[in-house]
Amino acid sequence: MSSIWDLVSPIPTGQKELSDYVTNHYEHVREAIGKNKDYRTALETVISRVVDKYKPYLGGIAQRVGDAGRAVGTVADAWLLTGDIFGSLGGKFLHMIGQIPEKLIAAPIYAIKTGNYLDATRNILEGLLSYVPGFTAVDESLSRIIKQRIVKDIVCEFEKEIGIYKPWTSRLADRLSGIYSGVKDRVGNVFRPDYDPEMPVHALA
Amino acid sequence: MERKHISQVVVCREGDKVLEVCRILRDTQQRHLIVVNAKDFPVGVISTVDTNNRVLAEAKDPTKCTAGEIMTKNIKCVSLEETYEKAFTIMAQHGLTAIPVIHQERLIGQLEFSHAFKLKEIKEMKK
Repeated sequence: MSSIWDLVSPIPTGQKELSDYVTNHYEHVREAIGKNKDYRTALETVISRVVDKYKPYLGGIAQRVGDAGRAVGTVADAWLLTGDIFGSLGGKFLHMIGQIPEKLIAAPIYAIKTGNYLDATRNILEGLLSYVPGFTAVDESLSRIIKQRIVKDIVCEFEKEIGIYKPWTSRLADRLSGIYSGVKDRVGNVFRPDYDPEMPVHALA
Repeated sequence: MERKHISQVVVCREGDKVLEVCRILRDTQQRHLIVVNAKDFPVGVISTVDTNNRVLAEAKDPTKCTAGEIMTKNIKCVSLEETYEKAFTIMAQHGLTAIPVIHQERLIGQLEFSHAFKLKEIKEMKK
């Protein structure tokens, strides 16, 4: 358990468990697999690929120390109910010390190596907020954020694999078309860094 | 620079009418976009303020004037082969929040100031 959220709503990391989790939580994935059994194999291939990508960032000493810190912080929050404010603040101090490796080392390394800067920023901001007495639970932990990213990437990669993926321009166009007139999917106006001179121009989103 | 640190960028063509430019800004929910020429090379930038100040406030017809006429020209850009330090220095000197990145004389995205700063710092820490 890396944070109290893992008790409320655990996110698995095993191949079989992730497959069940994704099909249970995402209706369109479940429907797609229901229509074509071959998509189950595609989903498993995607899960294996995505898990391999993020495996090196799950666990590790920094996150274990962070987990221990959060456990102490949670106890300190509960201790606050006894009225012993200074005792509770002592626990929160240990909690803060425990977060340093995760927030200052593991999160930036994860962000730089994967490009998921928003995930790391979220982890750091949650960490800062969690220092307030009584708010330890706000910090979902880096490993939980990575697990959430794994699930999001699996769904996204699966959609791409079976050809139902909609780029953000298309989703935005769907949303805006109810508000404005003449809204178009502007996928051709988006240049992406994975441009390859051999590929047709703009066929990338 | 590595491609994974480059963000995607919204563009329009030099010859696009301003009405189309405004619609691209609206449909992509952006505040600015890069103007590219026929070879996909960045030649200017247009912001929502530009469309207001240079078209509406000047009583120009957005269906007639083009992006090339109202864009801010001579924009700074960096090549993918350049270092983060160089990109950071250019952005710091000119007060830019992002800089277009080109590869083989074609726009491929933009590097944000915060990313360039972090990557520069980390490289220096490694040294």
